Amino acid sequence: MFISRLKDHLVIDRLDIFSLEILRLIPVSANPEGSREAEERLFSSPETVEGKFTEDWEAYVEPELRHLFQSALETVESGIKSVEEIIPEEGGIEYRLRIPWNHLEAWMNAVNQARLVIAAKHRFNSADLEGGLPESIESPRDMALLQIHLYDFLLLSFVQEME
Amino acid sequence: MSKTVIEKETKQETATAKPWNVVVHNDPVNLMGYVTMVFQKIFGFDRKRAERHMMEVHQKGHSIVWSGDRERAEFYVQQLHGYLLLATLEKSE
Repeated sequence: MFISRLKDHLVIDRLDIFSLEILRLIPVSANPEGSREAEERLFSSPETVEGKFTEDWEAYVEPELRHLFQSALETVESGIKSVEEIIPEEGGIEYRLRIPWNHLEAWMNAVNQARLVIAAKHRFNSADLEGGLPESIESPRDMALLQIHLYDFLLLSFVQEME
Repeated sequence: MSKTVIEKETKQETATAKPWNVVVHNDPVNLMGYVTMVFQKIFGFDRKRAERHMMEVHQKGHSIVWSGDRERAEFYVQQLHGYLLLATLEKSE
């Protein structure tokens, strides 16, 4: 996978089918449904001791955040649908994804939502996350860790492009 | 006459009011480079200052990234949550 910057968009090039499928999982993986930990991580409290501010926050701010997060996921979902199929000279199939510059914030948000939800659902700690790629994929937890590492690469590439 | 009195009271209140802190808390998932970028975007920090706050969050567990009036502090907390950082509003001690 290579990321390059053109005038008005980023290009994710030389995507193999596996990496593309991992990208397609972003909106699904970002769904916190069924996990209180994931829901609480995405919508954390704005106070250490909850009071009136938290009440107002839940009534007025949280719906805005939900809208922001959902909108980011929809941008990514629709972006992935426009993936191009490339047939290189040496054979096989590769994919190319173009991300308009003004969609980059949404991509960063969606990728980070997915990372946080996956980590919360699998209760990954610092040691898990800093331990590198799993040696083999033998469980959903191994797969989740691999997914997070791929999203880390993507997110940090986006951060670099923003600089 | 009454307007003058109100103005004096307001000034006195402003002078003694304690500021509100915007506190960012550590979490093991958000990436250091991402947190640095968010601080630069929201607060307009230069890279060095943003990294200093990011490292404080990472090493001490939290960092006061901004202090001032409540309305603006609430706005910053909302912005930070929009970037999925753990942030709280706290009255300065």
